[in-house]
Amino acid sequence: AAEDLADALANTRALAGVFEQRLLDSDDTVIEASRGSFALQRPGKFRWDYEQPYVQQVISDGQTLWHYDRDLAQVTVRSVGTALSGTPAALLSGATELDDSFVVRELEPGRYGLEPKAAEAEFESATVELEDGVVTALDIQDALGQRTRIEFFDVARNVSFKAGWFEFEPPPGVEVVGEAGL
Amino acid sequence: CATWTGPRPAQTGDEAAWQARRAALQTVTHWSLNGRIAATGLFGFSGRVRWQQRGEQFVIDVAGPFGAGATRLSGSADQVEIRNAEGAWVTTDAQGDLQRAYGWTLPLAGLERWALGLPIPGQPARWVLDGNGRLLTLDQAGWTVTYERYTQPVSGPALPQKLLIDNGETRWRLLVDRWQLDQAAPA
Repeated sequence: AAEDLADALANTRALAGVFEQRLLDSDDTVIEASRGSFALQRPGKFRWDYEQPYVQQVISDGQTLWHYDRDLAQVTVRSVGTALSGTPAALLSGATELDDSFVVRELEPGRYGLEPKAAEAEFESATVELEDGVVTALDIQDALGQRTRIEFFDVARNVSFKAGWFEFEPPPGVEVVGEAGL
Repeated sequence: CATWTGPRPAQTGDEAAWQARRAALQTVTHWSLNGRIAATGLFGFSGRVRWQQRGEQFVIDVAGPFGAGATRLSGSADQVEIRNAEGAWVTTDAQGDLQRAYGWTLPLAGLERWALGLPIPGQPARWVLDGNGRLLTLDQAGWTVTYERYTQPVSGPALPQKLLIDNGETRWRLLVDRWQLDQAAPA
């Protein structure tokens, strides 16, 4: 039932592994494929290290979200409140409590549909797939009918991370661009 | 040498190459690009851009990480539908609407041509060429476009890969990861 998702997320304090991400058009053609490593630590901390096809990092310590692109030599710094309100990345890391932000339905055993409660959520809907209590895939449907599908592999549970792993230190020469209010 | 669109000075080497390049690129009316775009200014933005141009019509998708804030601009430079998670609206002042809605704006009419490495036809412009008859910098419509890198496809003229677009308030950096010219321009 829907609670299984909440339980699975609640009792996983930390996760790390590899991801493959595909951006799919409304007719399921792949617009872009990327992969890298990810780390999650409740509450609110997550880190996506994109390695292919280019280097990017999306990191949050629970308060701030950094989006860094090495080739663009820029990091955009946003407060988590406005940046990922109610998005699955925040959900997986427990930044937002499940039923505060989403209506959860069990689509089939191990597969859950999520509808954001907030009207101005930055995506339409999402599905989360679990296998024996561990998230294996995340599908995010955006307002344009496109889907970002993220599949997780080699997932280690309750790992510990070195200090500062969920904070971003801009390398020299990288432009830091804040969002109003930061 | 800064070249006005006025009477043609004696054509230097790269000037002739530039004129040939312009003629070739002007025949390109259907193209698309996938890339990354970042804005600095009052509000920052960085994300993915997918631009599909069909003659006068374009569909421009912009989205942040995990598809957050996905926004689609479709139409032509003078009338655009802006669609995002909250709905869609049609505007004849897309630049103004984007500025009010997001704090950043995109010079749509300009980008249609600048992305290809061309000035907007029929509007005053100042430019400096690089040694290969390609634009190095272009001043037009209140923006300065700096072409930092080009990519040479198998056939057809070189295309911009990294460009900077600055109007003194907002500075955009566009990095094209993939170009597709649907009507191949003559070599």
